[in-house]
Amino acid sequence: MRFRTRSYPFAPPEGLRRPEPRKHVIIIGAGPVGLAAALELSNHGIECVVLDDNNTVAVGSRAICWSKRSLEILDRLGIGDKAVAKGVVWKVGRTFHGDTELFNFDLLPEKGHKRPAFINLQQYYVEEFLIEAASTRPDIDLRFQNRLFDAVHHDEYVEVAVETPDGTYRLETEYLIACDGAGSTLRGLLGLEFAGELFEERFLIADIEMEADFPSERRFWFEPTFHSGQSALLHKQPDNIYRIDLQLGWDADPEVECRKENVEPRIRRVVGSREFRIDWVSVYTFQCRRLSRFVHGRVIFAGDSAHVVSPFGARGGNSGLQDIDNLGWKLAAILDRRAPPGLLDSYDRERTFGADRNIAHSTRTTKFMTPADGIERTFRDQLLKLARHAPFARAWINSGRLSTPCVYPGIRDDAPDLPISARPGSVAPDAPQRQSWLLDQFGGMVVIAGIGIDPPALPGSRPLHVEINAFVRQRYLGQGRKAVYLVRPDQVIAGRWLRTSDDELRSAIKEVYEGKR
Amino acid sequence: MTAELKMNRAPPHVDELYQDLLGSFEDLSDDQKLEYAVLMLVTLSNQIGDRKVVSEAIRLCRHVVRNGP
Repeated sequence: MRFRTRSYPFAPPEGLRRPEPRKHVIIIGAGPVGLAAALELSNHGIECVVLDDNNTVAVGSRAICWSKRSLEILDRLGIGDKAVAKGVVWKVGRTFHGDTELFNFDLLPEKGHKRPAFINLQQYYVEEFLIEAASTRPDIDLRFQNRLFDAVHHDEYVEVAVETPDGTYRLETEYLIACDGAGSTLRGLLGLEFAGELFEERFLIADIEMEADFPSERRFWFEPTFHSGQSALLHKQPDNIYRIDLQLGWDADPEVECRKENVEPRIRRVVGSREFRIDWVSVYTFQCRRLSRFVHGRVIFAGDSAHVVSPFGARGGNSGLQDIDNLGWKLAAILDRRAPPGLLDSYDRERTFGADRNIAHSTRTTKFMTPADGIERTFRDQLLKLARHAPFARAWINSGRLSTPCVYPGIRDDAPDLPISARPGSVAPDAPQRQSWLLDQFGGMVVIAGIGIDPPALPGSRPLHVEINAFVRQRYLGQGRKAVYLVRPDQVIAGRWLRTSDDELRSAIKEVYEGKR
Repeated sequence: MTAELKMNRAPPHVDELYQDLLGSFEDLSDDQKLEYAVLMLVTLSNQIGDRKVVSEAIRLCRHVVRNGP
């Protein structure tokens, strides 16, 4: 069934009639990142207001590849099952040079994970599911057609001015989260600018509806015969929608390239004689840039408002959700007076680190896909030739290194004999348990996970007995027989010990809320 | 380790290595680029120090250049 965009109603806010009480949190933007922020705060019992200038979900598929980590986050937001049920599950990618397949990769070859490596699901579905979930939470106040047009930062609060169809009003909030995308109004109002690289290469992006038997795989072509000298990417989405990205060159005219008479022949060369209908077309260039800081006093930036990358690697929407995963529990702990405001420094430190990783990956991919004339092109073209003959060279072919969460540096207390997959700073690996999955039992608050050890019940944490099985042994114990893991509310490992004491754990829990681990 | 095993090994951080190699050609004239490439070949061959491995690399690269994709 084809997606039908619905309009969400405008409800005149109280602020149009009388001043409203100061809010804990206002979120600008009801895209996937803003809505995720609202739900994550709600999970922690924090009320918030979401302001969006529009009254519909995204037009066009936009972000479509949602990573395993994002699905784990969406699980905690209450829409994981719905997203996986609707999405197209995939884990295999194939890379071609011309018409020859150079190699393929399996992103999740091992069993014992609740969620797949990736699903493809149009952003409009994710937004609709998140809006449905948010609408059931009394502590989330969703306000459509409420456009931010001014923001003033005071010592104790931020004051925002909002325009609606019925007039303007002002609101005060302790914290303001900017989730208003790459063209962030709030970034402009604060006079903040991105730093980084802009790329001139233009790409055509088209969603087409078509009956076809393409498997659920990512397919990438360097110099395909159907699109001479350029590159192309194909993804299958739900509802028989296919995403096709075609490199156009730096001198393509976006207005001309979007015309039906120009798009159709290009698509025809990709899909052959199959009937198709164009659902959405756009031409884009991209940037690999970020703000120098994501926290500016009481204003916090997340998602595309804070950092932007090229789409090859699915690092846009996924990194936005990872921002919120990192931010939500920290902001809630600050508002509940369980943590000092300085905890936000760790959001800034960890997520700018994550953004730099994403930008580095994205920049390298872009340079490989669109090499400059001269030595860059020579290297790229010779590697493509070499990869046809030599398996080792295939690892060098870069059509997008797909999104995985980074490992936050600087978290001490590691037991080096334990497996690297669960080292401090990394997201806790999933594993099956008798009744559920391990990750379903982590999150929300600090967890002391005892594996072969009775975990102590300490203030500010929840003890968890982990059942030992082959997956837990492989991912958490290695050659060891027992261990204690300290897991943050965002499921990041904050320390691990072969043996420890209650005092040591108490101190480590305190450090979690101080942003030191 | 046999030549074949080494040739099939994919080192970690290939993207960083790739950028290092690209970057090392910066600011060289076309003539200097060829000189530099030869020097790199000799230096890396010396570092590898295994005639079987170097011979395998020579065989592979000559085959690719002569036969193309």
